[in-house]
Amino acid sequence: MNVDYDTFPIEKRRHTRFTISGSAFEFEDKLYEIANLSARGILLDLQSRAVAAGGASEIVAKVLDKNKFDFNLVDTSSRSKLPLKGRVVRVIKENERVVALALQFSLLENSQQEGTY
Amino acid sequence: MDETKKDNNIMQRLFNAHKNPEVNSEGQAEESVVRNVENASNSEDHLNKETAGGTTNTIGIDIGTSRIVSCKIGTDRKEVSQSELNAFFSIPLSPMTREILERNGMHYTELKNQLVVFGYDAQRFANMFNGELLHPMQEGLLKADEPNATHMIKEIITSLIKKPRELGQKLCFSIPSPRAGMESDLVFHEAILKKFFVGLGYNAFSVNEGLAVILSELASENYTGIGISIGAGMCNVCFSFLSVPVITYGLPCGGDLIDLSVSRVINESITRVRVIKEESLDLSRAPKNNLEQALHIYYDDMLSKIVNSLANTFSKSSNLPKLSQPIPLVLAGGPCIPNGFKTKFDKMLRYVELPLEISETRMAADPLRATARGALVYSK
Ligand SMILES: Nc1ncnc2c1ncn2[C@@H]1O[C@H](COP(=O)(O)OP(=O)(O)OP(=O)(O)O)[C@@H](O)[C@H]1O
Ligand SMILES: [Mg+2]
Repeated sequence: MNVDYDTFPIEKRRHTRFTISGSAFEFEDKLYEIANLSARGILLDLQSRAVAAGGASEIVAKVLDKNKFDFNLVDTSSRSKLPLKGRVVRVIKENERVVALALQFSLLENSQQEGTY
Repeated sequence: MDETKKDNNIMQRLFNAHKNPEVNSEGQAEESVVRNVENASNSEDHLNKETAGGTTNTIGIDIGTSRIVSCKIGTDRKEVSQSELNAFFSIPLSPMTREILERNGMHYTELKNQLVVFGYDAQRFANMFNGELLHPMQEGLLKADEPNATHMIKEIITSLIKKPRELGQKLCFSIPSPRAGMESDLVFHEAILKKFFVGLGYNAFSVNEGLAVILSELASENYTGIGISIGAGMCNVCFSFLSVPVITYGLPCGGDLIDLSVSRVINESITRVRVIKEESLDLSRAPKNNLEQALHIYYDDMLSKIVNSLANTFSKSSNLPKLSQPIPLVLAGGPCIPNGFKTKFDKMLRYVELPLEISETRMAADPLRATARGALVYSK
């Protein structure tokens, strides 16, 4: 699935996406598999079994309800977590059903020396 | 005859031709110059010739203050990399000298009334004429007070990469982290390069140098760790979590500052300091003379600045992840090559307190190519 999460709003730089096995999106204590991620965005594939177990419809309703939400980017192999702020930039539907979410994120605090790239 | 001697012979003839054109005006002497250059061309150049096919190949390119390095995957699926010195040297234009440069396949261009030799060839000329090389960049960025900087960096780049076979081929070039308060200089530098690559027909975009080191070296750690690239003009630091850059910053220190500082205190030319540093510096044993002592002192000074900056920047950050495992730190760049560098770095690192645990300090597999390799990873 090649859904754009970088062009909204227009980004000055292109951010390459990586598919990293074991990377997950943690929202309200539940983990969802990440299809791919860049320095700015995440694509959540809500069709995978792991996501369905986490409750796809539940997360869709909750994150859509908010302008910005806190979540963790998790490395499930080490259990390390990076807290981030996210927002939905695109909802991908198939036959009325939400199959994926494109999120943009930012670091908690943007100081000059952090996340400048 | 060894390679250096051959090289010196060629240079001597070019030098004579330039000083005294009529002496070398017969074809025969020049032909032997050509032959010598052909024989002298090293085997790496053959490996590095543009490979056929691979039209979908992407390119990674490290735009370094001292060297420009390109990297791509060849037809045999192996990495192919080429480099050029990011420097040039001007000599007055004369038809004779131009012809010799031309016949010997030297990299040069004409600029006003000058012949401008560039890349590694410029280094040989500077040695021959006992002059100082000129550089398009300083501290990681295009030099503002060098009128030919933009023109010459484009010449040097096009000696490494040609126009793409297919329009829109991806190319990723490295950029430094901006120094605090100097962000607008990076905007200019990045835009000039991007415009140039796009003009050649590439789909060009940038990657931060510190992140590139992580992409090159920490794939098996899921791109989580600290990457430090110490170059000629800059030290670029990046801490990334699952490829997401969390902390990136740059310090104006590196090999150039070491050369300059040493040359000042022991009254030696910068070039001689650099050559000795590159050829024989061993940080694992006690210095044997004044020059070595000064090199040790300024290496210590540079490393102390770097590890202190890690402690300061990381402890102030409110963005750090909650790490359940220690993370690796990887070092790249020319100044990391001397024997004993890693031990010195590790020793310095023990003096400071970091808010996260380092599992190990690692040297990049190829310190001079790590940034270009990382740019290649990012270009996919
Ligand atoms: N064997 C060596 N020992 C010590 N220093 C070396 C060695 N080889 C190269 N250097 C130094 O490394 C520096 C160049 O390193 P590198 O090619 O990584 O820098 P760069 O990428 O061009 O610069 P920057 O990243 O700052 O823009 C120069 O200062 C050079 O003198
Ligand atoms: Mg560099």
